[in-house]
Amino acid sequence: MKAYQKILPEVLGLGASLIAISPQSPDKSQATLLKNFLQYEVLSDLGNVVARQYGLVYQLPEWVRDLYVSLGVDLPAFNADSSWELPLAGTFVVGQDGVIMTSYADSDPRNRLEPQAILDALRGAKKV
Amino acid sequence: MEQDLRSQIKERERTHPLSREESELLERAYRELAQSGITQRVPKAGEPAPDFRLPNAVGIPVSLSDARGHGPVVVTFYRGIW
Repeated sequence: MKAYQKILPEVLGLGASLIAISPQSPDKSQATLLKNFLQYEVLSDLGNVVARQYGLVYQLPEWVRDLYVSLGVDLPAFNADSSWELPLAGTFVVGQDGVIMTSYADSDPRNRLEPQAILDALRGAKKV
Repeated sequence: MEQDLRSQIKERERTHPLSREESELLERAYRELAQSGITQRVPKAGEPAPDFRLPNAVGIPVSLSDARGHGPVVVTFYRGIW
């Protein structure tokens, strides 16, 4: 999110807005907001309802859950949800008409849509 | 988010290095997810974005349809603070 926060002034300058969605309960989202001084909406998608509509939800296999807990990631506590389901890191640039201009999803959470690709899409939309 | 996860994992690795088995376990989880074909099922460019209405950090509902009334919207899903 920090990488996207850096381009936020440019995103806003192009007349667009940024919405971040996570399965965290609102209290944890609030903590995120304060922690990162985010200047955009952080929405709580409890149970990954919306992420599921975007085809992004998967369940962590049982054999890796203990490792997550030992890394300090106690999902059931964070997300008020014992399903061990997570959304992929997916990003969508949506036009004013509701049509997706750019769609990105990666199964490796260490990857993400490059911030520059977002700006390119928004600039492209402006020229039309 | 992901960066926070990475820095958290890095910090954890510094204090309690991940064993070879643990690293392999994480890599295997990513690999299996990639092989599941999940990324093929997300809506693509040119398709309608599913609308949503969700509470923001202070509980006020925010909808995609309202947000795009003002201009394009970048919607990004992430796993959490870690």
